[in-house]
Amino acid sequence: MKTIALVSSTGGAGRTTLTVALAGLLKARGHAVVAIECDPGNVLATHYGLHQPARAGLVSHLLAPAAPWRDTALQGDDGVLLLPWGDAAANGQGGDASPEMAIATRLLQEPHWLRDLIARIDLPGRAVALVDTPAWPSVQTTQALAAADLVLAVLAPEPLVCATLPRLRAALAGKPCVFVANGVMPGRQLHMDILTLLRASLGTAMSSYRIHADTGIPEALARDEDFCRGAPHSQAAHDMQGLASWLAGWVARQGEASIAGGAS
Amino acid sequence: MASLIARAKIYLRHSTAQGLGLEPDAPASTWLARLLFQPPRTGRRDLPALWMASLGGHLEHELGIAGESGFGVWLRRLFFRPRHRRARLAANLRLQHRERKRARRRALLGKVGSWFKPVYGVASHYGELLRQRLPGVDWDKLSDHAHRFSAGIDRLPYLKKLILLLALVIGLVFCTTPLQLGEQFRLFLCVWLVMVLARRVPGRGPTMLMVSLAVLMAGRYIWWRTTQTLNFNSVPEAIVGYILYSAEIYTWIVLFFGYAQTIWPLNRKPRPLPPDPASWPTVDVYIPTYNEALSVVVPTVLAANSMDWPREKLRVYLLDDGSREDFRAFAESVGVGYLTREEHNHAKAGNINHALPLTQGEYIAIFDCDHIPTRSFLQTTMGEFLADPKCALVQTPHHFFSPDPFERNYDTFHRVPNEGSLFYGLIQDGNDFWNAAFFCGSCAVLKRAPLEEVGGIAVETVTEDAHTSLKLHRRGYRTAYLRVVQAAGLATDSLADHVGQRIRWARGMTQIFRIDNPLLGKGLTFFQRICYSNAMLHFFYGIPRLIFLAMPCAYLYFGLHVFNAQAISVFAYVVPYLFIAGLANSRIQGQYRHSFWAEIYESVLAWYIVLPTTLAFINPRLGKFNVTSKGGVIKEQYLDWTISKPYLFLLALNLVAILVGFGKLLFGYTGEPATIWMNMVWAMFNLTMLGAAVGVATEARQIRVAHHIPLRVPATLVFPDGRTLACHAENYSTGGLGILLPLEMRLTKGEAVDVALSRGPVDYQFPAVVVRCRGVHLGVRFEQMTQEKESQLIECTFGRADAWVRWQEQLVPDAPLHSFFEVVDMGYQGFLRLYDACMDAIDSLFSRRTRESG
Repeated sequence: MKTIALVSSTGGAGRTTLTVALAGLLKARGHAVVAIECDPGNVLATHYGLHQPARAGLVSHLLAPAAPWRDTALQGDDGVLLLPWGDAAANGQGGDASPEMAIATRLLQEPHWLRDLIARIDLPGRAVALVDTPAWPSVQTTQALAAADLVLAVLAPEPLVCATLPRLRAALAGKPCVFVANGVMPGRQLHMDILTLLRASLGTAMSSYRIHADTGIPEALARDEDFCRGAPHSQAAHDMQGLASWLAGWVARQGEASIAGGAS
Repeated sequence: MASLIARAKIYLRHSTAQGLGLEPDAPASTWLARLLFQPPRTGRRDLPALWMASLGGHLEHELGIAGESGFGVWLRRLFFRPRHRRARLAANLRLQHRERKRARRRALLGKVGSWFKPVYGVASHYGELLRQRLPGVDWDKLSDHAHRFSAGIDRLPYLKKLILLLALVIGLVFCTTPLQLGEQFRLFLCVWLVMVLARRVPGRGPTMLMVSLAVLMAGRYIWWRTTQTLNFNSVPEAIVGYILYSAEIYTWIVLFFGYAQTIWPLNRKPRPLPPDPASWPTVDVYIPTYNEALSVVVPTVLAANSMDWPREKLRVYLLDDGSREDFRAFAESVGVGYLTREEHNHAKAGNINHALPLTQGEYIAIFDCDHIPTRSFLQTTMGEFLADPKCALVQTPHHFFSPDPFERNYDTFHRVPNEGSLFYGLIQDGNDFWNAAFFCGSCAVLKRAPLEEVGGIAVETVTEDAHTSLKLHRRGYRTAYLRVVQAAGLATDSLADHVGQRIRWARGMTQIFRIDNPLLGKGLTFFQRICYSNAMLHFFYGIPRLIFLAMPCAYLYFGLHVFNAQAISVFAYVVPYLFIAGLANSRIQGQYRHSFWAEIYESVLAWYIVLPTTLAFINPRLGKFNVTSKGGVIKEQYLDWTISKPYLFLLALNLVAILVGFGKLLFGYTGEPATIWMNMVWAMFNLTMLGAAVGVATEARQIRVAHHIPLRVPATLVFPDGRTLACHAENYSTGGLGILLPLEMRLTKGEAVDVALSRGPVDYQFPAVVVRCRGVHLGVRFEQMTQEKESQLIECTFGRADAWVRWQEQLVPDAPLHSFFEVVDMGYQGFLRLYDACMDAIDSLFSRRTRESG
């Protein structure tokens, strides 16, 4: 199983949208996919149609390591397994201390908690775990980065991105990493200029796929629909397909490399 | 007086109406009914009037009269039928070709194929089994071995010369050995068998084999023709006979030179540039213009200015020989140099020479003002100069994205290779092997120092380009030809323009042949001389072609035996020679020129280049430079009578000759029916060619001024509500784009929609409105295009490095038999078009008369 973490240094860059879309597209390419919501905001679950946070989830395991957590996974209508973060308040162990404190302490104490957890998920074939995160920096994102085999850094073409990029890159140093621009409007000169700037500073780490902005994406969310299936001919869907194909190729290459490594 | 009559008329009408119980302005049918029938009682229907009205309607319909017509029209229609559109006999080839693929499969495979399907299936099954059993031959490997072997042999001293000498002796013996007719036939069969087998084997070895066999068969024919057929009975016969013989000598020379020229196409590949752009040389781009519209020049300038090359090392100059203010303003606004001059001598050559001392670049790239370069042009071509310091010129093909008159009028665009594709596909590549590729005036890069050494672009002739490279070659410089399309432009619009351009080339080449003959003078290698002289001799085909077109008449009219041989021996020598030469040609050039198409191209142009070449041959200084105009509109299909006059004359000549031949056969004036038949077949062949020539002169409708250029690049539509759609651009025209949608959409005309195009990793978005939307085909027109947007659009379309990469995939391989039928069909269609045009002419003659008289 390969773990891909989607991170960004600004809010609203499109991490969760991309996680859902890529999970569906990778599933359609024959991969077993688990989408992991490593985000106390419960945004990913909302994308899958949960209008209330799931009671049980990662947080249940975090707060009560002994509790059984294998039943917390849900299945989306596209066949993707969803591992929600869960509702910290509902999982309160009766203790009076706020659960956030306990969560943060636990995550800081065990930097590989998520990685170990994912390692215990046994899915067949070239399985992929996509980890959705809150905006970096946060304890959850740090866990996700520690667990990831590949980091997909989502960049909105905004000035803030350029400002925070050097620190994000420093945090990602040593990790296989690919940067993807999301929400690109070719009609906006600012977007084009920022893209040029990003390409100049990131070089080949910048993916040649750039996800175009499309108002169909929020509309699909509002209607509880899968965007890529609802508007397959939109440019944004094409771009996501391209990115998903690239990821599938990356996973296959990793698989071959590990087989070759194991044989030698 | 008049008012009195009018008043009387009204009074009479009113009083009569009152008498009959009518309204005064009732229709004529009611009047007629009232005259014959009583008015109906109140409450009853007026049956007679209704009946009269319906009868009137029926008559109007039958006679084709519009309602409310006067009495005169009725009277005339009773005796004369109305004019109606005459049905055209000539087929609409455009429609036909679209249907043909399906139709042919249906007609041939569907009907006949279904009967033989079992047989065919079994045969192909066993054929496949057999093929699997037989050992496969790796021809590439084999030819590799052959190359290495011959390279090894090459190292032995004198061996090559010895082999060549031996081959010469054997060839001479082969050509001069007399054979019985039957044996000659058998020889033909053997050679033909070898040719047919060799055709199926890829590689250059079989090509060489086929060419040498063709040379041998031609040699036999020449020997026989020279020794056996030149004894004439009378002086007129001898005169006409020797004229025919000399025309044939010309074709033999061109044939052999052509073989030498194209025996080993070089297929040069672009050389890489050094990795550090700082070491790349400086380049000036010249875009000479004279009287072309600014809209033609703009894309070229913008594309040239955005070529991939270090900014500080690329300088674009617009060389305006028309000294136009708007050109100067445009050049300033986009930041390119603008050069103009006081006096305008020596046309384009003078224009470039004037600019030479005013600019400083080490290299000079020249584009005609309508050849739009791709961004990769310089990076593709410049490597050659850096790899070879003696290289003075790199030429790339001229590619045309609009159909030329031949292609348009017979709808052969992208189906049959055009006239130029033989030159740029094969001949220049062949020349390149002998270091004789020459400059074609555009889409090329020249090195400044050698160019200045030969005194700039040559001004002595009207084909300054070829002459310049000849001068470079005489100085020992090398040239290179890269068969990579790196620029594209518009083809000539009408046949008249096309002919005008060819006349200029023919005249210029003749001038060079006269004043700077490549066979004479110093500095050239033997094969350079051959390549250059063939390029020039090629344009002398006018007179020989006319001789061949008129020759059957010599026998059929006057009974002259211009070819003193039995019909059967003609079959034994002429047919094998033509057949084998045709096969060899199909092998060498098939991809770039289909069999029999050279005959059509030459027949059309022959008459027109006779006079310019002859005049230029007598006095090279006669004549002026003429510029071809591009980008025109042809509203109605029409036959260009002035240009087809000579063909009509030759056509009549051959037609009458055939009739005379039939007459002679029927009334038994002759003792040699076989000879008559042979001459009639020859005349029939001529008729086909001439019919096709006349057909080409029928200009098809060309409605759009802005050409729709097929161009397939990915595009994104961005709708005003923010939704996007991934699609492909189908074609480009100035100011608009044709787009192929992935699904049918209903977009209304005038709706705003943005189009985003990409150039590498960069997107550009262009505001546009919908012009038409039918099914999945969408047409948009760009709005508010600024200079900058215009430039970006060119970069995303014509400027794309891969814009013309796929042109060679469109080439259709040659199938001689199919090609023959196609040419015959063209001739036939030409006759039908001629008939249509005649009837149109008669019609217009009469209709003008009646209008004048009426």
